[in-house]
Amino acid sequence: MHEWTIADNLVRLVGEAARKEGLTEVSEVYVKVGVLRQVIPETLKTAFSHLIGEIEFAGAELKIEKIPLAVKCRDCGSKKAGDDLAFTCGRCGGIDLEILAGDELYLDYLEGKGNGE
Amino acid sequence: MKIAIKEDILKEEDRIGAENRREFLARGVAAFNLIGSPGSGKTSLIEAAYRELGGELAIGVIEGDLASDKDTVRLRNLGLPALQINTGRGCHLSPLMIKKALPEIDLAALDILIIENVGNLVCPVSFDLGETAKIGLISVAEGDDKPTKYPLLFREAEVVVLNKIDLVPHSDFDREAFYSGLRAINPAIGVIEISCRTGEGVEEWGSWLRERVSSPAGR
Repeated sequence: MHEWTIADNLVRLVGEAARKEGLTEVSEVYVKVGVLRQVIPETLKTAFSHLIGEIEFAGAELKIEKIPLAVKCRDCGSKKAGDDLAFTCGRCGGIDLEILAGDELYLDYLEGKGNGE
Repeated sequence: MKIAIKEDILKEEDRIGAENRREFLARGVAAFNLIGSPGSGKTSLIEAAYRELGGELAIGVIEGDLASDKDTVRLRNLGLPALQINTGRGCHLSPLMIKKALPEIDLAALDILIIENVGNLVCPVSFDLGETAKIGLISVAEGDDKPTKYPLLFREAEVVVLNKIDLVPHSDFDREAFYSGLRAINPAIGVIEISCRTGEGVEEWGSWLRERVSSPAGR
Protein backbone atom coordinates (compact mmCIF):
# COMPACT_ATOMS: atom_id res chain seq x y z
CA MET A 1 0.00 0.00 0.00
CA HIS A 2 3.04 2.29 -0.12
CA GLU A 3 1.81 2.68 -3.70
CA TRP A 4 -0.58 5.38 -2.44
CA THR A 5 2.29 7.45 -1.01
CA ILE A 6 4.28 6.93 -4.20
CA ALA A 7 1.25 7.98 -6.29
CA ASP A 8 0.76 11.04 -4.08
CA ASN A 9 4.35 12.17 -4.67
CA LEU A 10 4.13 11.29 -8.36
CA VAL A 11 0.97 13.34 -8.94
CA ARG A 12 2.59 16.34 -7.27
CA LEU A 13 5.69 15.99 -9.49
CA VAL A 14 3.54 15.62 -12.63
CA GLY A 15 1.55 18.72 -11.74
CA GLU A 16 4.67 20.79 -11.07
CA ALA A 17 6.43 19.68 -14.24
CA ALA A 18 3.40 20.07 -16.51
CA ARG A 19 2.66 23.58 -15.20
CA LYS A 20 6.29 24.59 -15.59
CA GLU A 21 6.22 23.43 -19.23
CA GLY A 22 2.90 25.18 -19.85
CA LEU A 23 1.02 21.99 -20.67
CA THR A 24 -2.76 22.19 -20.83
CA GLU A 25 -3.22 18.44 -21.00
CA VAL A 26 -1.20 15.41 -19.94
CA SER A 27 -2.13 12.22 -21.77
CA GLU A 28 0.51 9.79 -20.49
CA VAL A 29 2.92 9.59 -17.57
CA TYR A 30 5.88 7.20 -17.95
CA VAL A 31 7.59 5.87 -14.86
CA LYS A 32 10.34 3.31 -14.32
CA VAL A 33 10.01 1.03 -11.33
CA GLY A 34 12.72 -1.41 -10.28
CA VAL A 35 11.73 -4.83 -8.96
CA LEU A 36 13.39 -4.01 -5.61
CA ARG A 37 10.73 -1.37 -4.94
CA GLN A 38 8.10 -4.06 -4.36
CA VAL A 39 5.48 -2.01 -6.15
CA ILE A 40 2.31 -3.71 -7.36
CA PRO A 41 1.65 -1.99 -10.72
CA GLU A 42 -2.15 -2.38 -10.55
CA THR A 43 -2.26 -0.77 -7.11
CA LEU A 44 -0.03 2.10 -8.21
CA LYS A 45 -2.24 2.65 -11.27
CA THR A 46 -5.40 2.65 -9.19
CA ALA A 47 -3.92 5.13 -6.71
CA PHE A 48 -2.57 7.31 -9.51
CA SER A 49 -5.83 7.47 -11.46
CA HIS A 50 -7.67 8.40 -8.29
CA LEU A 51 -5.23 11.11 -7.19
CA ILE A 52 -4.57 12.63 -10.64
CA GLY A 53 -8.33 13.22 -10.77
CA GLU A 54 -7.87 15.83 -8.03
CA ILE A 55 -5.67 18.10 -10.17
CA GLU A 56 -6.15 19.77 -13.54
CA PHE A 57 -4.43 16.92 -15.42
CA ALA A 58 -7.16 14.38 -14.61
CA GLY A 59 -7.35 11.59 -17.16
CA ALA A 60 -3.59 11.18 -17.60
CA GLU A 61 -2.72 7.53 -17.99
CA LEU A 62 0.12 5.95 -16.03
CA LYS A 63 2.55 3.72 -17.95
CA ILE A 64 4.82 1.62 -15.78
CA GLU A 65 8.01 0.03 -17.03
CA LYS A 66 9.24 -2.66 -14.64
CA ILE A 67 13.02 -2.96 -14.41
CA PRO A 68 14.45 -6.37 -13.47
CA LEU A 69 17.32 -6.77 -11.06
CA ALA A 70 20.81 -6.60 -12.58
CA VAL A 71 23.90 -7.18 -10.46
CA LYS A 72 27.64 -7.37 -10.97
CA CYS A 73 29.95 -9.40 -8.75
CA ARG A 74 32.80 -7.29 -7.40
CA ASP A 75 34.92 -10.42 -6.94
CA CYS A 76 34.79 -12.10 -10.34
CA GLY A 77 33.13 -9.41 -12.46
CA SER A 78 30.31 -11.60 -13.78
CA LYS A 79 26.90 -10.04 -14.31
CA LYS A 80 23.41 -11.41 -14.12
CA ALA A 81 19.93 -10.05 -14.59
CA GLY A 82 16.42 -11.28 -13.95
CA ASP A 83 13.42 -11.11 -11.66
CA ASP A 84 14.97 -13.63 -9.30
CA LEU A 85 16.09 -11.82 -6.15
CA ALA A 86 19.21 -13.76 -5.24
CA PHE A 87 22.13 -11.77 -3.95
CA THR A 88 24.98 -14.21 -4.35
CA CYS A 89 27.08 -14.48 -7.48
CA GLY A 90 25.97 -17.40 -9.63
CA ARG A 91 29.53 -18.02 -10.84
CA CYS A 92 31.87 -17.66 -7.85
CA GLY A 93 29.42 -17.50 -4.94
CA GLY A 94 30.66 -14.01 -4.02
CA ILE A 95 28.42 -11.84 -1.88
CA ASP A 96 29.83 -8.40 -2.69
CA LEU A 97 27.45 -7.42 -5.46
CA GLU A 98 26.96 -4.08 -7.12
CA ILE A 99 23.34 -3.36 -8.03
CA LEU A 100 23.33 -2.13 -11.62
CA ALA A 101 19.56 -1.91 -12.03
CA GLY A 102 16.39 -2.78 -10.16
CA ASP A 103 16.08 -0.03 -7.55
CA GLU A 104 14.70 2.64 -9.88
CA LEU A 105 11.66 4.68 -8.94
CA TYR A 106 11.50 7.69 -11.16
CA LEU A 107 9.31 9.78 -13.36
CA ASP A 108 10.80 9.35 -16.82
CA TYR A 109 8.73 11.57 -19.11
CA LEU A 110 5.31 13.00 -19.86
CA GLU A 111 3.27 13.11 -23.04
CA GLY A 112 0.99 16.10 -23.26
CA LYS A 113 -0.28 19.12 -25.12
CA GLY A 114 0.70 22.72 -24.62
CA ASN A 115 -0.95 25.97 -25.70
CA GLY A 116 -1.15 26.26 -29.47
CA GLU A 117 -1.10 22.51 -30.11
CA MET B 1 4.81 16.60 -27.09
CA LYS B 2 7.22 14.67 -24.95
CA ILE B 3 8.65 16.26 -21.82
CA ALA B 4 11.64 14.45 -20.30
CA ILE B 5 11.71 14.66 -16.50
CA LYS B 6 13.91 11.91 -15.01
CA GLU B 7 13.23 12.72 -11.37
CA ASP B 8 13.08 10.47 -8.34
CA ILE B 9 9.45 10.11 -7.33
CA LEU B 10 10.29 10.01 -3.63
CA LYS B 11 12.84 12.85 -3.74
CA GLU B 12 10.78 15.05 -1.41
CA GLU B 13 10.38 12.18 1.12
CA ASP B 14 14.13 11.47 0.88
CA ARG B 15 14.96 15.15 1.38
CA ILE B 16 12.97 15.25 4.62
CA GLY B 17 14.53 11.95 5.72
CA ALA B 18 17.98 13.48 5.22
CA GLU B 19 16.91 16.49 7.31
CA ASN B 20 15.85 14.18 10.12
CA ARG B 21 19.19 12.36 9.87
CA ARG B 22 21.11 15.63 10.29
CA GLU B 23 18.97 16.46 13.31
CA PHE B 24 19.68 13.08 14.94
CA LEU B 25 23.40 13.47 14.29
CA ALA B 26 23.45 17.02 15.64
CA ARG B 27 21.76 15.89 18.86
CA GLY B 28 23.93 12.79 19.19
CA VAL B 29 21.02 10.36 19.01
CA ALA B 30 21.14 6.96 17.35
CA ALA B 31 17.74 6.38 15.73
CA PHE B 32 16.53 2.88 14.92
CA ASN B 33 13.69 2.17 12.53
CA LEU B 34 12.12 -1.03 13.84
CA ILE B 35 10.19 -2.89 11.15
CA GLY B 36 8.22 -6.10 11.66
CA SER B 37 4.80 -7.72 11.27
CA PRO B 38 1.89 -7.05 13.62
CA GLY B 39 2.39 -9.37 16.58
CA SER B 40 6.08 -10.08 15.94
CA GLY B 41 6.99 -8.47 19.27
CA LYS B 42 8.18 -4.97 18.34
CA THR B 43 7.00 -3.39 21.57
CA SER B 44 8.31 -6.33 23.59
CA LEU B 45 11.71 -5.88 21.92
CA ILE B 46 11.73 -2.22 22.97
CA GLU B 47 10.80 -3.20 26.52
CA ALA B 48 13.66 -5.71 26.51
CA ALA B 49 16.09 -3.00 25.34
CA TYR B 50 14.93 -0.75 28.16
CA ARG B 51 15.31 -3.44 30.79
CA GLU B 52 18.78 -4.27 29.48
CA LEU B 53 20.10 -0.74 28.88
CA GLY B 54 17.78 1.58 30.79
CA GLY B 55 20.31 2.10 33.57
CA GLU B 56 23.11 3.27 31.27
CA LEU B 57 21.50 4.80 28.16
CA ALA B 58 18.56 7.15 27.76
CA ILE B 59 15.99 5.58 25.42
CA GLY B 60 12.99 7.28 23.83
CA VAL B 61 10.35 5.80 21.55
CA ILE B 62 8.12 6.91 18.70
CA GLU B 63 5.21 4.50 18.24
CA GLY B 64 3.60 4.24 14.83
CA ASP B 65 0.18 2.63 14.69
CA LEU B 66 -2.88 3.01 12.51
CA ALA B 67 -4.93 3.74 15.62
CA SER B 68 -4.87 3.63 19.43
CA ASP B 69 -2.20 4.51 21.99
CA LYS B 70 -2.06 1.04 23.57
CA ASP B 71 1.68 0.56 22.96
CA THR B 72 2.56 4.05 24.11
CA VAL B 73 0.67 3.57 27.37
CA ARG B 74 2.38 0.21 27.82
CA LEU B 75 5.85 1.78 27.39
CA ARG B 76 5.10 4.82 29.53
CA ASN B 77 4.00 2.52 32.33
CA LEU B 78 7.52 1.08 32.25
CA GLY B 79 8.97 4.59 32.54
CA LEU B 80 9.95 5.02 28.89
CA PRO B 81 9.25 8.37 27.23
CA ALA B 82 7.06 7.42 24.26
CA LEU B 83 5.26 9.49 21.66
CA GLN B 84 2.36 8.10 19.64
CA ILE B 85 1.85 8.76 15.94
CA ASN B 86 -1.42 7.49 14.51
CA THR B 87 -1.22 7.09 10.76
CA GLY B 88 -4.95 6.57 10.15
CA ARG B 89 -5.12 4.72 6.84
CA GLY B 90 -1.35 4.92 6.32
CA CYS B 91 0.53 1.63 6.34
CA HIS B 92 3.91 3.14 7.19
CA LEU B 93 5.53 6.09 8.93
CA SER B 94 6.73 8.84 6.61
CA PRO B 95 9.76 11.11 7.04
CA LEU B 96 7.38 14.06 7.40
CA MET B 97 5.49 12.41 10.27
CA ILE B 98 8.81 11.98 12.09
CA LYS B 99 9.91 15.53 11.33
CA LYS B 100 6.67 16.90 12.78
CA ALA B 101 7.04 14.73 15.89
CA LEU B 102 10.66 15.65 16.67
CA PRO B 103 9.98 19.04 18.32
CA GLU B 104 7.89 17.19 20.91
CA ILE B 105 10.85 15.02 21.92
CA ASP B 106 13.82 16.15 24.00
CA LEU B 107 16.38 14.62 21.64
CA ALA B 108 19.36 16.13 23.43
CA ALA B 109 18.45 14.10 26.52
CA LEU B 110 18.40 10.80 24.56
CA ASP B 111 21.06 8.35 23.46
CA ILE B 112 18.68 6.11 21.54
CA LEU B 113 15.43 6.81 19.72
CA ILE B 114 13.59 3.68 18.68
CA ILE B 115 10.97 4.31 16.03
CA GLU B 116 8.46 1.46 16.03
CA ASN B 117 7.03 1.48 12.54
CA VAL B 118 3.52 0.36 11.61
CA GLY B 119 3.32 -3.45 11.60
CA ASN B 120 4.10 -4.33 7.98
CA LEU B 121 7.03 -6.00 6.19
CA VAL B 122 6.68 -4.15 2.89
CA CYS B 123 5.68 -0.50 2.91
CA PRO B 124 7.84 0.91 5.73
CA VAL B 125 10.99 -0.29 3.97
CA SER B 126 10.59 2.21 1.11
CA PHE B 127 10.85 5.29 3.33
CA ASP B 128 14.05 6.67 4.80
CA LEU B 129 13.00 8.26 8.09
CA GLY B 130 16.56 9.46 8.69
CA GLU B 131 17.37 6.49 10.92
CA THR B 132 20.86 5.35 11.82
CA ALA B 133 19.87 1.79 10.98
CA LYS B 134 16.82 -0.29 10.12
CA ILE B 135 16.19 -3.30 12.31
CA GLY B 136 14.15 -6.15 10.83
CA LEU B 137 12.13 -8.16 13.33
CA ILE B 138 10.46 -11.45 12.58
CA SER B 139 9.11 -14.08 14.90
CA VAL B 140 9.19 -17.85 14.74
CA ALA B 141 5.39 -17.96 14.63
CA GLU B 142 5.41 -16.18 11.25
CA GLY B 143 7.29 -19.01 9.54
CA ASP B 144 10.78 -19.53 8.13
CA ASP B 145 9.98 -18.25 4.63
CA LYS B 146 9.70 -14.55 5.42
CA PRO B 147 13.11 -13.42 4.08
CA THR B 148 12.30 -15.02 0.73
CA LYS B 149 8.85 -13.43 0.59
CA TYR B 150 9.84 -9.95 1.80
CA PRO B 151 13.37 -9.55 0.44
CA LEU B 152 13.68 -5.79 0.56
CA LEU B 153 13.45 -5.51 4.35
CA PHE B 154 16.15 -8.12 4.72
CA ARG B 155 18.33 -6.25 2.21
CA GLU B 156 17.91 -2.91 3.91
CA ALA B 157 18.09 -3.96 7.55
CA GLU B 158 21.41 -3.84 9.31
CA VAL B 159 20.45 -6.65 11.63
CA VAL B 160 17.63 -9.17 11.89
CA VAL B 161 16.12 -10.06 15.22
CA LEU B 162 14.43 -13.46 15.31
CA ASN B 163 11.96 -13.37 18.20
CA LYS B 164 9.96 -16.07 20.00
CA ILE B 165 12.68 -18.73 19.66
CA ASP B 166 11.11 -20.45 22.66
CA LEU B 167 8.38 -21.52 20.18
CA VAL B 168 10.76 -23.38 17.84
CA PRO B 169 10.13 -26.82 19.43
CA HIS B 170 6.37 -26.24 19.21
CA SER B 171 6.29 -25.18 15.55
CA ASP B 172 7.35 -26.23 12.05
CA PHE B 173 9.91 -23.43 11.92
CA ASP B 174 12.97 -24.76 10.09
CA ARG B 175 16.07 -22.82 11.20
CA GLU B 176 18.14 -24.11 8.30
CA ALA B 177 15.53 -23.01 5.75
CA PHE B 178 15.29 -19.62 7.45
CA TYR B 179 19.03 -19.03 7.36
CA SER B 180 19.49 -20.24 3.79
CA GLY B 181 16.61 -18.00 2.62
CA LEU B 182 18.04 -15.05 4.51
CA ARG B 183 21.61 -15.60 3.27
CA ALA B 184 20.42 -15.69 -0.34
CA ILE B 185 18.96 -12.22 0.14
CA ASN B 186 21.64 -10.75 2.38
CA PRO B 187 24.68 -12.97 2.87
CA ALA B 188 26.42 -10.72 5.38
CA ILE B 189 23.55 -9.76 7.70
CA GLY B 190 23.76 -10.43 11.43
CA VAL B 191 20.97 -12.28 13.26
CA ILE B 192 20.07 -12.02 16.93
CA GLU B 193 17.95 -14.91 18.18
CA ILE B 194 15.84 -13.86 21.10
CA SER B 195 12.85 -14.69 23.21
CA CYS B 196 11.42 -11.57 24.79
CA ARG B 197 9.25 -13.89 26.88
CA THR B 198 12.01 -16.03 28.44
CA GLY B 199 14.77 -13.42 28.22
CA GLU B 200 17.02 -15.62 26.09
CA GLY B 201 19.21 -13.53 23.77
CA VAL B 202 18.21 -10.24 25.37
CA GLU B 203 21.78 -9.62 26.48
CA GLU B 204 23.02 -9.96 22.90
CA TRP B 205 20.31 -7.53 21.72
CA GLY B 206 21.47 -5.04 24.33
CA SER B 207 25.10 -5.45 23.29
CA TRP B 208 24.24 -4.87 19.65
CA LEU B 209 22.44 -1.63 20.49
CA ARG B 210 25.23 -0.47 22.83
CA GLU B 211 27.83 -1.05 20.14
CA ARG B 212 25.76 0.59 17.40
CA VAL B 213 25.14 3.68 19.52
CA SER B 214 28.86 4.24 19.93
CA SER B 215 29.15 4.81 16.15
CA PRO B 216 25.91 6.54 15.13
CA ALA B 217 27.15 7.98 11.82
CA GLY B 218 26.53 6.26 8.49
CA ARG B 219 25.90 2.60 7.92
